[in-house]
Amino acid sequence: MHMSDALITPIVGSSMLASSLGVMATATKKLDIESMEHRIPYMGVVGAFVFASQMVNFAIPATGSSGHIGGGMLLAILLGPHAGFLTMASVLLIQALFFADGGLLAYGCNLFNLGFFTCYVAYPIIFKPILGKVTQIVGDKQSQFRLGLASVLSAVIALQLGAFAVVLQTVISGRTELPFMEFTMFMQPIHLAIGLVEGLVTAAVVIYIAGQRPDLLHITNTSSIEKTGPSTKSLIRGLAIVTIVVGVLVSQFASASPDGLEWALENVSAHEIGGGVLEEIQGSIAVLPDYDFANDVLPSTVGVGVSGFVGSLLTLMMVVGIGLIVRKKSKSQT
Amino acid sequence: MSKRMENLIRISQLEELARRDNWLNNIHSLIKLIITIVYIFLISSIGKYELTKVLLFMVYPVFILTAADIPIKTFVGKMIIPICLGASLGMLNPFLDKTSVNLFGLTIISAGWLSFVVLWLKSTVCIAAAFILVSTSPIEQIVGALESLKFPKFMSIQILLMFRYITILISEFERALTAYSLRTQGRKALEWHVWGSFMGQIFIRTAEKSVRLYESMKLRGFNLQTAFTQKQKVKSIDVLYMFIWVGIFTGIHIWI
Repeated sequence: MHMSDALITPIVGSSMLASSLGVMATATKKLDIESMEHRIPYMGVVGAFVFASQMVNFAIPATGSSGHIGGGMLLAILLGPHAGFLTMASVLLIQALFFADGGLLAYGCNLFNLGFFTCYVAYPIIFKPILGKVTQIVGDKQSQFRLGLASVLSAVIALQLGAFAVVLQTVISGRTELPFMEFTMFMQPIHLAIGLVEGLVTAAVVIYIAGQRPDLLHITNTSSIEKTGPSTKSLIRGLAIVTIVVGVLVSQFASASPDGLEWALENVSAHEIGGGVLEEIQGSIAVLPDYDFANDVLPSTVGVGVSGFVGSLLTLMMVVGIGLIVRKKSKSQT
Repeated sequence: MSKRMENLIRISQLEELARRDNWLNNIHSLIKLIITIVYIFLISSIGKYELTKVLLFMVYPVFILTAADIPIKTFVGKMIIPICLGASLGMLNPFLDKTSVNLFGLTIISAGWLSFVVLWLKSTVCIAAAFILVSTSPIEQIVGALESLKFPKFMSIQILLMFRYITILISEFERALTAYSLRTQGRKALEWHVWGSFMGQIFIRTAEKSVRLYESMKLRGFNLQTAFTQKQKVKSIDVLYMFIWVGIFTGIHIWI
């Protein structure tokens, strides 16, 4: 699934490179570099293992053919999502430089297609939930079945997503004549078969390792090299920034058309719906009627932005106020 | 010879070329990396039917292969498979795009064939540019160049370790697969009932090797903060070299 430089335009390549570098930066931040010094040789050696294992042929029963693994899912299961993604980045760089397997401009695309979907989509959303809360993997049939099922499903879905991403990146670039539907119909079934083989091989390897050295799997690794999740303060800060951006900037693009209920009522009753006296009172006391200034002192865009900001602030104050009152009351009751 | 041994030989040949002492190898790796990136960037922005531009852009790999004395046999040997794979990228173009175009004002051919040839040449020269980079700069210098572009230090160390261990692990896989082949009357591919144990055993040995590797690195004074990758000094001739090539590429891109 390694894309060549000739398949994409510089814009697509640069955008995907920027996205992949962003994910790399996030993964680097998430890893506790100081305490993971001892893991760097391990990451390097595991990366070399995955690289070398790509040259091993696995005979597919009853077909007479053989396949090989990509290794993205294996990296995520062994190293975890962040270390796995960074190791995949190193593997792909060496492949692009020394083996002409994937281009340098397409590096970002390849890293995203092969690293992001395995480490940040399939592993946390499919693999870990199927496995459940595991503190100790035992060698019983149920654990093996869950490991196997999780590995196969994760690999299949990750490869399907990666293959579809290849289609999108190629079609958006417009470098080949293949139409979107035909290209998709061509890529997805092939990568379903590839994903199945990859999943089965990954399952076999992971089940074996779980039986012999379960401590080598990331999911059972108690000494975590990852930092704990974001603090409440940084979460609130982030949400506040998003709220301001949405309230002040994105609100400028809000539709002025009537909403679904108003539209439906207007069409049923064939005239504009009015609220009578109550509407007049509301109109006279509203500070920012219809999300704008009452008199046309400033342009409408400023009025909308100010409405968004003030509205968000008032909502925050009201929710915090209610929360403080509820907390005070519950404290006085205990 | 197995694919693994071929890859081993490929790596050692490229390393040997990169460690020669000649004028091109002595140019700063960051400069060569920038030239390669600009080259690939501009090649990728060439339109579907712009054959003249692609042919002019080929001046870079042709000049470098000649001036840097890179053996053509080695170059062609490394490029055969990527070139063939590159041809598969646009092989449906002649069937999907049947409009007629004039080539060099004279010949009328199908646009699909033209776009196929352009795509193939673009793929080939992009691969050639990457090949030129790694055959004129050792991996340590390339990683050092990436570090000067704010690549994380621990990633540089990891890439170097991975690169060194690839050869060791390929050899280990080769020995294990040879033993398997001898025990299974010449089978080349692993049967399904040994997938897990074969790969798992090699992986567990690999993991234990990494522990010994880290311990030996610590005994030799390894520390993430003070570990260094090869750093070179940028000379004015290197900068001039870069401006010349970027100027040529930009000129071809804008005026042709």
